[in-house]
Amino acid sequence: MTQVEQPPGLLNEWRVWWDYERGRLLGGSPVARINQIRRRSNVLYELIARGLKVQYRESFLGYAWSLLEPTLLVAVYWLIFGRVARFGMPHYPLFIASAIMPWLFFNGTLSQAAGSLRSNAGLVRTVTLPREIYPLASVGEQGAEYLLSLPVVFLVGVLYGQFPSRYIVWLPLAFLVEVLLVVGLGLMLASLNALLRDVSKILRVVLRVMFYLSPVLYPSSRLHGKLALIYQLNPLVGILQLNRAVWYPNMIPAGTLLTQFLVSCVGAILFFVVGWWTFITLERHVLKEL
Amino acid sequence: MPDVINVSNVGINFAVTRRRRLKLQDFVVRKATITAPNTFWALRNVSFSVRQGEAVGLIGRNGSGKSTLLRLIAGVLMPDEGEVWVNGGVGAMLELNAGFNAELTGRDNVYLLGSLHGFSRRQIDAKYNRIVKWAELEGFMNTPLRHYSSGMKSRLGFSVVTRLEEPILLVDEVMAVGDRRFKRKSYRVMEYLLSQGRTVVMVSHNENDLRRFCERGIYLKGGRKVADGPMDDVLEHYRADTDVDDDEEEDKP
Repeated sequence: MTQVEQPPGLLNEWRVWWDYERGRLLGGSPVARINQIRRRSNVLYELIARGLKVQYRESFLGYAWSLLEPTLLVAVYWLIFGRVARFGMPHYPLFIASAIMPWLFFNGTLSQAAGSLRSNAGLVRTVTLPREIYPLASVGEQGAEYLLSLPVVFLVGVLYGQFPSRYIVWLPLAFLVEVLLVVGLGLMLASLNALLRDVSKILRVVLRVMFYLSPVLYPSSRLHGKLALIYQLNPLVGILQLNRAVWYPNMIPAGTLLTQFLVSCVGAILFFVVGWWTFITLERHVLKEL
Repeated sequence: MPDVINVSNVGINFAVTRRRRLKLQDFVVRKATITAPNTFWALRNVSFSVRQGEAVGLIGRNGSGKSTLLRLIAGVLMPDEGEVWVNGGVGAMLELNAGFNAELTGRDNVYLLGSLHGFSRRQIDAKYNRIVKWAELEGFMNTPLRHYSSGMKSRLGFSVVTRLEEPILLVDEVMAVGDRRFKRKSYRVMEYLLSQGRTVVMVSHNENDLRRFCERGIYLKGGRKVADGPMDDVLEHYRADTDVDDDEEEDKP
């Protein structure tokens, strides 16, 4: 048998490695995993559709809830913080609505993603699928809901005679950075929660605290000094601020906004890397516990 | 024929105690080489390979690691030691009802389960009528699954899962579906699947099934491979072994 002449060197080594990784059924390096997820992306779509269907079909109002729920929340916060506590901001309901949507997306995704491996244990135990699919489906489902509930903000805006500023073109970027952030955190929480049920309980408290530590009900400019510096390390700040700038373009200086958003970007990438790494590292143990 | 499944020196351990503490070590050591005090090895030093088109039956008493081994091949468990290599798509028939959602209709569930097992929407479209007809659930496809009886559910699950076209099939005791009539029907389906020259690894306690479907047997005992060869020989070995065990242990309640 004649051996086919192989080009020597790094390129060939890399090719051999890639052929091996590509042949893997599941697991392996991140590149192999992305390949596996891409190959089964129709499942991701089906799982997202399943989630939305169950949610919309089982309630009488269906899709209307996606609009009603945030509206009612805004109304409650407006009553408490606008009327009773007198957090005087112009068009306070719009002020809340513009930032509470990305917050609800963050909050909803993390709560759901944390339980995603546990609630799909039957599938994880029997179906040959990349496990990342389950937390990713949570992100997809909540992301779809977020986009479907965005009309609320525009409705409130129109109600106050306001129009979105030029910052609206940055909105998709803010969404993408938030997706990256919640994917990382979701992967981390899903694997940790599969091993320790306490994680989802702690998460609930942490999210509550995070809500008040993020500029949803008040502007971030209320804080000064060293505290403000630490405060701005929260990767949500930049994302929420950019969302708010769509309706309040002059409230935050462009330079501050840029800095805050860059912090968000760095934070999102960091959490994505750490979150996925945690997921990969714990996967073997998680599978035994489900 | 080339090998399509290669299991080399595979070992996996589980915690004995209910509460498993998350250790810092889990983050640092990729492959656990040290046996922690509270773990037992469900499988250890198991090696074998399966050629394309071979039908292999796993034999052993309850808790000998048969299902664990099947799960490792399916990729839904990962080994602590050694490596499992599978070349080609795997159709895992491990539990029939696992992918179902009680809130969705029978129809939606067929599409969901089908896609989970690797079908595209179009492929399911083409198979849909046959799936429903085989399960004899024509009038119930718009009913939410929570109104199904358990027999109806497993019939539907079996009907979807047995349409898999993957070259490797993993079967874990799923042949007993429904009443007498359906048992006979599902038997015929299994026979058809196995006659297509696909690679099969199955777990069963039914010696007739094993002899009928598999030419090769692997006998697992306490997580180790003790025999591997023609099915009749391995079954003989297994039977001799269990008879000895029975003599040693008094079966008093």
